[in-house]
Amino acid sequence: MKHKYKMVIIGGSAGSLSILKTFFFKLNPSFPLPIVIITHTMPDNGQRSKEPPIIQHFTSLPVIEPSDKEEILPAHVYVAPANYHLLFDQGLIVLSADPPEMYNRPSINVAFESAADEFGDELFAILLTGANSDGAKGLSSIKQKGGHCIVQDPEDAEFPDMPRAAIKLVKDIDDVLPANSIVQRLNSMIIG
Amino acid sequence: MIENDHIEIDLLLEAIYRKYGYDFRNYAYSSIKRRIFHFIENESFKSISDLQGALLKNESVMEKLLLTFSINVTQMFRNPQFYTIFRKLAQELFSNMPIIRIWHAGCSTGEEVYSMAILLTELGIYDKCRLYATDINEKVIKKAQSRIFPLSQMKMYTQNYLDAGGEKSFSEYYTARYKGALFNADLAKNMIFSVHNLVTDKSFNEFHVVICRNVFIYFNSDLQNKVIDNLFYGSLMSGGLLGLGDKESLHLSNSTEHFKVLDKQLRWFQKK
Repeated sequence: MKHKYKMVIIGGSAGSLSILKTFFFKLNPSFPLPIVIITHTMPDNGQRSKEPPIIQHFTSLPVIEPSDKEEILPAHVYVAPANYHLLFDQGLIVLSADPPEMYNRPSINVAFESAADEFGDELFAILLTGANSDGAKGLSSIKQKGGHCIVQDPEDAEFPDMPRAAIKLVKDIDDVLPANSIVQRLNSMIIG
Repeated sequence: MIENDHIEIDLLLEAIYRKYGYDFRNYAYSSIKRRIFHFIENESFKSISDLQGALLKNESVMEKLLLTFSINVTQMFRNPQFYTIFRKLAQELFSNMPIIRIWHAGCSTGEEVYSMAILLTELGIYDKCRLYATDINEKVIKKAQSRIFPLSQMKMYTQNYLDAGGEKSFSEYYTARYKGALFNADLAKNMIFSVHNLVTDKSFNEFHVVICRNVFIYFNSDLQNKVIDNLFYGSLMSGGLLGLGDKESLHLSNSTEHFKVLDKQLRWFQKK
């Protein structure tokens, strides 16, 4: 297997759940890297997020809502719990209940910036559809640390604001692609 | 290669410890870094070292930063099911006990201490309970003692209270005045508030219950394990209960062999 990445991180907001379903349906089940997903879930008054069981329907990779200080394992999918920021520290997922950033908790910027610190150029980041501008600053940090950044093509996105904001802020995004091609890009990592 | 930020933050935390005795050196780095950068931005410092200089010369800067570091977001009846479980456990375990000591460690502004007092009142055992509520920060303790919480939160707290199995009308527990809800003095009669630092202070009693929610998420693994293995394990009586935040666990602690998991989802543990 030829790749230099240690983790894939995906940010998405409005419209992203349906993309993620297709995404995991098409993802090669032997995909070896950990995948961490940050979406803006509604505050749920203590209930568990709805995303993990839904995504689990579409993949044989284990889909987990992580606890604080959860070890990041290969070939596992982690979905940020509602009402917490998700960050990285010494190979672990750490959570924070600090106030929302731009009304979001989890915030994609917080997770992306922390992932950039932790994984540097070994990070593969994807930003999907959404109706706000979260994630743009985070992608910029990832780019500065040499990570690989893909943004969903705004033409292909149900809500184009989030991809557009990122494309506007970050000049050297590696690829702007429709969702289908993004999965193919991940699958192509494991050929050979 | 260690980043410059990392070096500067380590030095800042060392300076705070040596000058003021607050030990944040083993806090989770990624979270404390965010808080420091927020503080620098909000208070218009130029850099981490600029902040360090000001902080060494001026104690009021330290007080402000302490607030940033220690504020722990809380709610009344946060994760209502946590209280539903406790209601059952308390009925099973504490009905026949003459006295029950409960420690809210890192109580912040006290919302969960009042929630506990309400629950114990409804169980009819509050008179024999003592609620010890501690926090590293004197300011939040003062706020907790005021018995006043924002009126704007009461709608959410009422729902939480009902979801937690509350038996009355929540508004019976407070009087609305101006923008605040003043909670009944009866609820606070068995509360003992005090400043306590989980990192540097020792245990001060033996407890039937220790509740410490969303404090460990700000500690690194070593510090979390140290506090659980030494302070909490040593402070609980055999069979005593430990309640954590809804995303906190013991899995990295050596203490998993010392604690039984009572509810994996809602994070209730029992000392073996």
